[in-house]
Amino acid sequence: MQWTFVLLDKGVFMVNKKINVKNVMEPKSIAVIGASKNPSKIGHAILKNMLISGYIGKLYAVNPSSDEILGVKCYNSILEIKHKIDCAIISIPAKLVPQALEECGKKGIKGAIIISGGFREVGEVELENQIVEISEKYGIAVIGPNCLGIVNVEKHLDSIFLPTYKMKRPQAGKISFITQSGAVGSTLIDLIGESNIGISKFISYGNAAVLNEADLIEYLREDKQTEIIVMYVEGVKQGRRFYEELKKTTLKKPVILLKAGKGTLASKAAASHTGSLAGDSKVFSSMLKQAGVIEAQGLEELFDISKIFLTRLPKGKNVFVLTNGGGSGVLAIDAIESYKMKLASFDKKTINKLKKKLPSHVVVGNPFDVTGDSGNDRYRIVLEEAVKEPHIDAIIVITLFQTAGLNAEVVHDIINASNSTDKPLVAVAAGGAYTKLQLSILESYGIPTYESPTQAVYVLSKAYWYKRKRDMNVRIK
Amino acid sequence: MLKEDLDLFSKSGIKIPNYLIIKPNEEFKLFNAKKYVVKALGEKLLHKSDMGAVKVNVEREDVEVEMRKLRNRLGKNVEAFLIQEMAEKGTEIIIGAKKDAQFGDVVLFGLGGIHVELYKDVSLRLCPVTLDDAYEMIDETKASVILNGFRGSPQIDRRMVAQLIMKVCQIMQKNPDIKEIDLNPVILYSRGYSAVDIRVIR
Repeated sequence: MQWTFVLLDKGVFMVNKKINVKNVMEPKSIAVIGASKNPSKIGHAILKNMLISGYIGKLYAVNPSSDEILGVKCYNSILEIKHKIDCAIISIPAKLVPQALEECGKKGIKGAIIISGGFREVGEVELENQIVEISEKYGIAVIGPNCLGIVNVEKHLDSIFLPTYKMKRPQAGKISFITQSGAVGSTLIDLIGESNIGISKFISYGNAAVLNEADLIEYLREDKQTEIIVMYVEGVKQGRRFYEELKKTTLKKPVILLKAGKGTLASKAAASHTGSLAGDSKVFSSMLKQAGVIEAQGLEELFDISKIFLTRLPKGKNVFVLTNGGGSGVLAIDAIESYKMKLASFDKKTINKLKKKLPSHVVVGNPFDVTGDSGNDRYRIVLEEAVKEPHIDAIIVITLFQTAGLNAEVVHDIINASNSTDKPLVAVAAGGAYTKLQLSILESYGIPTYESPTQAVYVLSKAYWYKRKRDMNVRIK
Repeated sequence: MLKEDLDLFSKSGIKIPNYLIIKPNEEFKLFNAKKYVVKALGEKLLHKSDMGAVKVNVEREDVEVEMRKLRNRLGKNVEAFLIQEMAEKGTEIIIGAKKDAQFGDVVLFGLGGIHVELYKDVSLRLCPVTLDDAYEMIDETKASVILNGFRGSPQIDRRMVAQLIMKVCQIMQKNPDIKEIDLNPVILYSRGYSAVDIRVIR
């Protein structure tokens, strides 16, 4: 239970928010209000996607002008349905939403996803306030309005209104997403759907009339399936609470966040130096750092950094680079310096042992260059030592799959190495269809892959930063 | 008002130079110091150095002369004088705080002079800050290099600076009516520091 101040036009009210996010995220029964026979309508796509995704709970449709849609019996009103319903997905014109939500309240429905737009974002503040009031009155957890909806992969729940043939859906995994923007969210889901990385929850929360980013982060912190949280935000509703929730969350799992709209926030004229130097975007970034959140600078980076947490956290800064191409190795070493990581080295005994096993033209060191004529055997020999070496905290394996000597067996050697160590292992390769296939096999085994050695080192440095910060905050706590 | 602010900071354990605030024509007994700073105070003299309302490096016998000169030049704008002990040269930093509309009390740290004015090389955190947070704030700016004793500048006790950052946070949090604080500059020495200019906006 939690007390919240709600600002309505009539004044400030303190209300008892008895709402539970689980009612929206993990419902056992769902009604689609505004389900439609017309395939070009959002209400049609939602119902269809719920059917395609194979939602494991009970599904109902509400639309007074149909008896049945896609084989689902259609009711005139939510109040006509006799069975218990946990969550309503509402996709009807904005001005009809308050009445529909009121009916949900009367029926005892405790969760609602309002897909419809036409509220605060177009100046209809009063209409949005009505939603807040109804939610408070009945204790309904509301996501939206003006949002894309949610995906809960474990429950086969998919309320996103974009057809699956236009946008792929990801498999089950450890990453969960919270996004304010539906457009950015759908791009991310599409990209992840294409890769071999799975997700757990996806939440597009739109106007955040009732549930805001702080509520959602709190929910994902306690969610067992979620191990990595990725966020896209434009603005936050309860800044201080958001900070506190983030700080608590990063003690348990990494949070990677992309903030949009930073450039447009010109600092206002201020009376003091401090006032003029502490602009909104600088305060926001500093808040993230203090909370132990990794801030991404763009969508690509958001994706890249999130992936690194699929492997283990580096215990220290010492990075070992294994390659069959000299140039890529040098790029990795340059990046190790510029991102303030360190070069790992084998001890002398191991070096001698490796020299005996490998041809004399192999460059023993860091980067460890098994050279262009290497098969998978040299990779295996070096990796078997690297995974055990105490001075190594992280391993980057660069493979030019294009060389004649390198066979696909190397993928198994890399997977075996990754499975036999508590160090993070990252793969780097770039190329066409053949290379992409190998990379997707690696990713399906939880090995993050990157196209550039520089990016691989960069994301490792972020993972190390998170690990240090988390340990520091755990100590203080 | 200035007196209140100066008292608040010195009571909170922040070291400020010896000072005296006097009305024009008021009799006063000057404290002992090697050199003095004379500042004309008045609502219209907010940007003191821009308006030539500050005289530094003043000898004891010239204090009254400088006060007269300032009064002749600035006229009725002068409501009072602040006479301060002239601080020795050292490494200048800025520590500030403000109330942020979204996140509440925020503390700021940066190197003084060109670093803050031109490069905006500052770091921020939400209050309260831990000692580790404060160290991070120092390390995020070029100050970490300079405080280590770069090219002959004295080596500074980082812990002292970190604790000062924490203190400014505490003052901000204990006084909800304060909107902004500027300690600009704070002069750091190999031993100790002096907060020579304090501005508080309520």
